[in-house]
Formats: sequence, structure tokens, C-alpha cells
Amino acid sequence: MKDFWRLFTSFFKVALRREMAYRGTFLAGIIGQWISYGAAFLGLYITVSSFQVLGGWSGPEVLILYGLSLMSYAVGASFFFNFSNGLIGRIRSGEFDASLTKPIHPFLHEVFSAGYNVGYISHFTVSLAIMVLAFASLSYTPTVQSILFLISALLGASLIQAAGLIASSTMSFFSVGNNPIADFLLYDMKEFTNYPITIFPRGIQFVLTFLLPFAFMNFYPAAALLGKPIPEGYPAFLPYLSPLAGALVFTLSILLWNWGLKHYKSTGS
Amino acid sequence: MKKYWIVFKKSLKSELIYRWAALWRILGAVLEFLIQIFLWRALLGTEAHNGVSFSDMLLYVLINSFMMQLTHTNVAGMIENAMIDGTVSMELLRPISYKGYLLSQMLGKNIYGSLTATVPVLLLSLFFLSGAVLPDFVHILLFFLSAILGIALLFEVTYLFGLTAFWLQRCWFIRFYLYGFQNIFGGTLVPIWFYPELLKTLSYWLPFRYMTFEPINLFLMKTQLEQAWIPILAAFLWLVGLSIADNLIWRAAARKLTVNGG
Repeated sequence: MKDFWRLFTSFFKVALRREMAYRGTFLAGIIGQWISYGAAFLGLYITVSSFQVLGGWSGPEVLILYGLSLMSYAVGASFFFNFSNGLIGRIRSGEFDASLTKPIHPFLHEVFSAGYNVGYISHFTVSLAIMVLAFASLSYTPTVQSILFLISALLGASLIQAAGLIASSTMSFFSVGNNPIADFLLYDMKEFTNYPITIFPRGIQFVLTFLLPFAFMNFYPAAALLGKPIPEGYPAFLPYLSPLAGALVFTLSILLWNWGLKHYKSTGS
Repeated sequence: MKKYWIVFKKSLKSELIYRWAALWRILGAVLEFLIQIFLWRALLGTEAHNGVSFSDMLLYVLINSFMMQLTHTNVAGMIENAMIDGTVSMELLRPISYKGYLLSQMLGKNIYGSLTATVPVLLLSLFFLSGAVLPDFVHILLFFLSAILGIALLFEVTYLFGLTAFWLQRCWFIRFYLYGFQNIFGGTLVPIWFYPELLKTLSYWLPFRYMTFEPINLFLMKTQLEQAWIPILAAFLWLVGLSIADNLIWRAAARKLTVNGG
């Protein structure tokens, strides 16, 4: 465990220095992402408030829903985006084979050497700001319990986001071409969670709860915090299971990755 | 003109290889469209809001996403890559304008993807469009005119943003600015019908609303014939103004260009 932390911090410092080499670009990128995600929040807010409610959720409440999703993505992706996105290139070029010869598990070596992505600070700050504003406009009074609940839900949500990134990179062991199935399952399916899932048919609610549990990322925690109804007939404790769901899918995704690794044949370059 | 046609065909051909990816893209497009259907069903129900009906919204989503996909391109990224590996010097030597080359390449690359994604969605939407009124002949003509101007304007702005790559060494972030402005001022995410007054007024003074939103307004006959000349003229003037600007910037860029090895 001590080695784990030493490795993590030394890899972390290298990643930070690498980003900071282009300070101007880094700053311009952060502002650009504020504008781009700010526009997404604004669009969602305009849509919902123009109609007052969407499936029983007001404008600020839907912003919290989207904020949770973006913030957990920021946390999960800062650790796993470079890894997930870069794996295919490293396999194609043959660099990945070096990871197999290191004295730590290839998964850990890949994650550490891919580095922490500092750029997600923009997603994090914009979602934090929007959520604070949204809670304030609802005159929500936070309690110690609700803050602890929010933090634990965010951790679970970040694990779900990370699991998605890990699972999608597994495809690179089988094919070094494009990865359309993963894009479909991870990006297109996730779009549903920008809105309260209760506006969708029951089949979709089931898929998002039990098969691809994206609803635990933002819908269930937000429903518990704001006292919104969950799909009819679902157990009332479901909204509190985000950390558990996160730990479960995260473990499954690592198992999947290792299974993929067993089937890996080097490209030989 | 023939040269540009060749670039268009080559670029289209290289896209046709990815048959398998096309299938998933179709599924993705259908899913995205279903989300919009459920969303607007939940918001609008069976009534109209601000004079906007459910079928208006579906047509808006269809036309908007087709036009956005057709012009989906990352000029800044292409210039950045060409500068890093030095191929930009080759591209400048070609007996063809760089802007025209990029335009034909973009259309060739996107036409297959946007058609395969739109046709299934269009078929699906026929089930939901029972109450829709089709535009009359004059509106259709005006729509096509304004849509062609819109596509040209979309490309023009993308290209102008992309040219800044010549001054910045790394420019992956440029598309975030572009998307942000398009979404806020162009109504590509939420139609401008629902905008608050301030944003609505602002949008008239920027080029973005003339890209997809005004053509859609013509298709849905929300713009009366007497007023149709206003958005069309505005799009045209923006196009002329921005072309002059990009010409000047392009000359400055070609002078400033330093190629790393290559």
C-alpha cells in the first residue's frame, strides 16, 4: 500500500508538469470548456424553465441532475480518461507490451503512466458552480447528513464513470479499429441521464437501473436529495445504493479488462 | 471545379470502408432521436407552447442534426496535425485553394454519415409526424436557399476559428469555443423560440442563428414570405464579410507559417 502511494504521487507530479508546460493553452482550454459546458447548462435551464417543469422537476433541479453527472465524470475521467483513450494507440504502436514486463500489474502501470488529466478541473468547477447556484435558488438548507450523502453518492458515481471508461478500453485488446459499440453503450446511452428517467418508458428505466446503471450516477441521488419520486414499484432504498453500485461496476470493469488482457495478442510492432 | 469534385469523392470513399461503424452510428442516431421524442412529449404533451407544436420540434431536431452533421469538422485539428507532421507545406503547394480543399473534404467525409444517420430517423419520425403541415413550394425553395447559405456560413465560421491554429501551437480547445457559441447564440441545442428576450436580441447580431435556425423557421413556415428576405440577406452579408476576413487572415497566416522539418 505504501508503494502504491509513492508510485501514485511520483506519476502524478510528472503528469502535472507535462500539462503545465503549455500554460497558455491550458488556460484557454479551461475557459473554452466553461463556455461549452456553460452553454449545455444554459440550454437545459432555458428548456425546462420555459415550460416550468419537466416530469415534476423544475429548472434548477434538472441542473443539479446534470451537474452531478458532469462532476462525477470530471472525477472519474481525470484518473481514467488518458488511460482509456490512449490504450488503443499504445497497443497499435507496441508500447503497451512494455507494461507487461513491469514489476507491477499491467493495469496499474497503464493507469499510472497514462497520468492524471488535470484538464477536467474545468468540468469540475463549472458543475460545482452551477450546483451551488441551483441549490441556492431552491433555498435548500444542507444538513450534515445530506452533505455526507452527496459526497458518498458522488464517489459512487465517479466509480461508475470510471468503470465505463475502463470497460470501453477493453475493446482495444480485440480490435485496434474504431470502437463504435462502446461509444453507443457509454455515450449515447448516458444521454438519457441528462433528464429525469421517469419521463422515459419503463423498459428504459429498467435498463438504466439494472443493466447499465447510469441512473445511480445522478438520478437516484438527486431524487433522494430533492424528494422526487422514483419509478413506480422500485424499492425505496434504491436511491441510497449509489456507492454500492459504483463499487460493483468498477470491480466488474477491472475483471472485464483482465479477461480482455488474457486474450491479447501483440501487434508485433 | 473538377479538382474539388475529386477531393470530395476520395474523401467519401475513405468513409465508405467503415460499414460496421455506420450501423452503430445509425443506432446511436435513432436512440438520440428517441430521447428527443420522449423529452418533448413530456414537455409539450399534445398542446402547442409559444406556438410550437410537437411535430415542429421533431422537424427542428431532424433538420438541425442533419445540418450539424454535414458540417461537422475540426479544421483547427486538421491544421494542427498538418503543422506538426509538416504536411501543411504540401497542402499549400497543391494547385487548389486550401479553403476549397477543406470544404470538399468535409462534405465528402460527412455526407455518408449524415445521410445514413438521418434516413432511418426520418422513417421513424413518419410515425410521429401525422399532424405536420408540409411547407408550400415557395417556402421549400426559400428553405433550400437559406439552408445552403447556412451550411456555407457554418463552414466559414469553423474555418475562421480553425485558422487561428496557425498562431497557436496547440489548439484542441478551439472547438469548445465554437460549440459553445453555436449552442448559445445559434439555437442548435434549444430552439431560439424559447429563449429569454435578452439572448434572443443578441442572437440577431451574430452569425450563428442564420446557420440552422433560420432555415428551419422557413421550413416550418414560421417566417412569413414578406419577411423571408431578412434572414437570407443577413446570412449572405455575413458570408461575404467573413470571407473577406478569412482571406486577410489566410494571407497573414501563410506569411507567418513556420514548418517544423516535414
